[in-house]
Amino acid sequence: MEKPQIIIHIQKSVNYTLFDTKWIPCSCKFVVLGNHARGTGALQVYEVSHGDIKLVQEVEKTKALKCGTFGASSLQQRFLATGDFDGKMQIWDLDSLEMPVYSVKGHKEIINCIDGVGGLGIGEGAPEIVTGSRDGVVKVWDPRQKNDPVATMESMEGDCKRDCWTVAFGHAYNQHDRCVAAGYDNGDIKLFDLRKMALRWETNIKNGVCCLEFDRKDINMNKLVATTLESKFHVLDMRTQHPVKGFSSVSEKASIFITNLIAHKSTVWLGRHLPQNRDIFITCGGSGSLNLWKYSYPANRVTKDSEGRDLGVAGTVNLLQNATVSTQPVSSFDWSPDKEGLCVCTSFDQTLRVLIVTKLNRV
Amino acid sequence: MANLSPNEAKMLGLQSQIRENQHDLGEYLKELDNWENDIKHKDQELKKTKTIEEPKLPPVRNSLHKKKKKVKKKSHGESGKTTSKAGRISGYDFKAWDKFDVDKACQELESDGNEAGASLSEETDEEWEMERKRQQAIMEKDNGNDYFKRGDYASAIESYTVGIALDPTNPLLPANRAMALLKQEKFAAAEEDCCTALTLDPLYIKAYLRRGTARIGLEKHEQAKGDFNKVLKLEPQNKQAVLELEKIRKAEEKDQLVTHGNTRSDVGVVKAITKPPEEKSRFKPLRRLEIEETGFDDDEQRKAAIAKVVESQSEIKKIITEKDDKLFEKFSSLQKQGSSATTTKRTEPDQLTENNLTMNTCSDMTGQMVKNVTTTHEANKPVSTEMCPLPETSYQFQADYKRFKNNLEAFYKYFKRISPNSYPKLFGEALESGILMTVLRVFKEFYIPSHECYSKHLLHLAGVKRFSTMVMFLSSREKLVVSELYNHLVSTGTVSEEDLKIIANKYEIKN
Repeated sequence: MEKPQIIIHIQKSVNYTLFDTKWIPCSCKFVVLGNHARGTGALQVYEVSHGDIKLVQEVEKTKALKCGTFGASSLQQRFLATGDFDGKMQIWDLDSLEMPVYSVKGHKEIINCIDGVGGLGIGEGAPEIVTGSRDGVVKVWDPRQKNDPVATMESMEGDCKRDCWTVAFGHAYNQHDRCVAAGYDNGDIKLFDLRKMALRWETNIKNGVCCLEFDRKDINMNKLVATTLESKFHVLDMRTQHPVKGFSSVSEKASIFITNLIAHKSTVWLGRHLPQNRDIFITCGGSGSLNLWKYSYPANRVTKDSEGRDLGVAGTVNLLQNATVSTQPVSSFDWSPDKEGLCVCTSFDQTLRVLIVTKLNRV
Repeated sequence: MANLSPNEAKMLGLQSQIRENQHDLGEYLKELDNWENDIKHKDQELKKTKTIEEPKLPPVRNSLHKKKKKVKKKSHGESGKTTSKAGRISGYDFKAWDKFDVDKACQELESDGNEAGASLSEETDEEWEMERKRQQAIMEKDNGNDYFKRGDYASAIESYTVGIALDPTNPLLPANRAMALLKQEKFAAAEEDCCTALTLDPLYIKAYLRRGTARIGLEKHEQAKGDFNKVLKLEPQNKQAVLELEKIRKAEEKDQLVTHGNTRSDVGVVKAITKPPEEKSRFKPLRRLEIEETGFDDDEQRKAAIAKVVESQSEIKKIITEKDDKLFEKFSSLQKQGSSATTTKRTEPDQLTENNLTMNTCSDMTGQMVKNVTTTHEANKPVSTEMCPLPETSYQFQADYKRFKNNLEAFYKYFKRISPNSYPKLFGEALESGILMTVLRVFKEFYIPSHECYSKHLLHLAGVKRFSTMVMFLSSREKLVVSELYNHLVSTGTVSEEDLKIIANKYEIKN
């Protein structure tokens, strides 16, 4: 009876391919990014207004836009950082979209993913943007520094360069600590510690990693959702790292407990935590379905192994609701940071949908 | 209501759920409308208040943006110090001590401690910054070292300079910059850098060495001596310091001689040739030497001997002599002696050895020639085998063999020191009948008279690659030597039958 409902509130078809959507913080507007058939980039701003959406702004850019984030911008400015097909990272002032306020050719190939932290009052420390690209490199940018990244993570020379599909900030709970998680097409997840400027941990979850998201960016690492091809996703308890014997003890190798889940019967494209309750998250599938999940912590999050070292314990995940909104994969999804239950998603049927999820506060 | 079928009950349940969901949704949508209005209002307000000052942010990661100085904190700390000083009571002011409230003082101390604790987090921030700069400086140093290795001294100096700006407390940076400056022959700047390094680390030996070199370059001989002596004090075995001191001493001696007994000083003065600073020890003008060509009957022999000596010299020495030769060629072409230039080059050393006490050339390179010649003479003397290190590779052995092959006794002494076990390794594929016969002759002429047993040697020799083919092609005279050796072994009777059989077999001795 108390199951949350996923309801399509507003639907709108567009004439271009949609890649990403983000709510503009502290407003009832959202931006959508995409790719016109002629190869140019589309950026539109819509406003939700009494059961309908209005196109507020529209602009066409030379290169297709793949991803965007407001994460590194202040609440006053609300600048949008985007990554495009050409490897450019740009920051836009939505009030004057003719020229970017910041632009850098950061990658040799398409920027697949972008994430920001330090803005919007989320995360301590400097505003930073991380981008991951098909050229295998993950770069961290500070909008205050032109032209050069503040940190670059790439494979050793000579190693095969993997396509980086997803990046996520986390662990930004004080001025210095900050981590970047990056997921690659071969199933690698790498966790970079930006304070130490070192790889903190890495693992392989067999299938290509489509999406990584920390439940919160601004706390000591807690949970990480990793979605993959082949309809699997993982919830990692990141609180307790266990040093495994047999590895070199230069970097802390860890076994982090993983909850394995199967969903959607196809690629799990996305995992997105509800900003108002981080134990609830939604996954978006290749079949156009949305699954709403709730994570329950175990009674004890930490046990001791045979040698007395701390070992994390995984919790359980329950499916709350399941809905199919499209016949095509859902390419992006964003919860409104200001209104619980309001969300927007785009799918490859060239349609954007504003969804309402009810009863989230009673779960 | 009681007599409902399960289906009907389910239906009703579903209906009520749908109703409830509808209700929820309706409420949500109403709420959403309100929220939309609210958030629009908020949005507008946010836009209006755009000129809000940025909160203080940490510096850009891995870069060196200057941080705003924490003036406030510092002044606070200082004021704290001054008050505590003012509150101090003189040890002789007994009245004041009577009034001194211990509890209050303790409280004060505690509160001070708290304040310190509060500022600690800020302090760590600054410490962190310092640490980062230090790291950056070390990176610059490494960059500089790379450039230095590649010979790009200008870039190296650039890197070190950046490093010094980042971390002025690291003595390595100025010392390394000094080295690069020395390479560029900027001696004064190098000296200054060394002084900086030494104020940071007064026990930094390399800095003393470099300063000494710089001062030689500046012709501050006394001060340079002081530096090298200091090095010897810190590290008595330092070879470079000893060498440099020796050079200075010689230079000074020559200085004196030049000033004292210089009768024809300005005849044919040649200015100093530019050389790397470490080879540069004296800066006196070079003087031309009269060369007498005497006794060249055995020219061919002499050339052969010199060639042989050159061959036996170590690699480094070869390089040095080659360089000297080149320089000398320049020198001699200056003299425009034309065709005789090469012969001068060859004969010069001998002239020098004869004249070097009286002539006292000031030229550095001729000095070096003198040294070379003295060593050549030594090498030509028959017995220097004790000095010769044991060969470790077949190449070394070959080189040594070439040196000794005309001197059987020397070769015997040399060969005796080689363990028979290492023969296969030493000879490798390079065993020639010449070497084999020399070895066998050594056995015959030296081992037999001194009653040394060589059966082991023979056995091991037989284990060398290509040995059997070598034996096959021995001439009858050579075979005679072999059988002589074998017969001697048999006659001594100390060798086991088995070994004898093997030897006979391997060396194809027919009885």
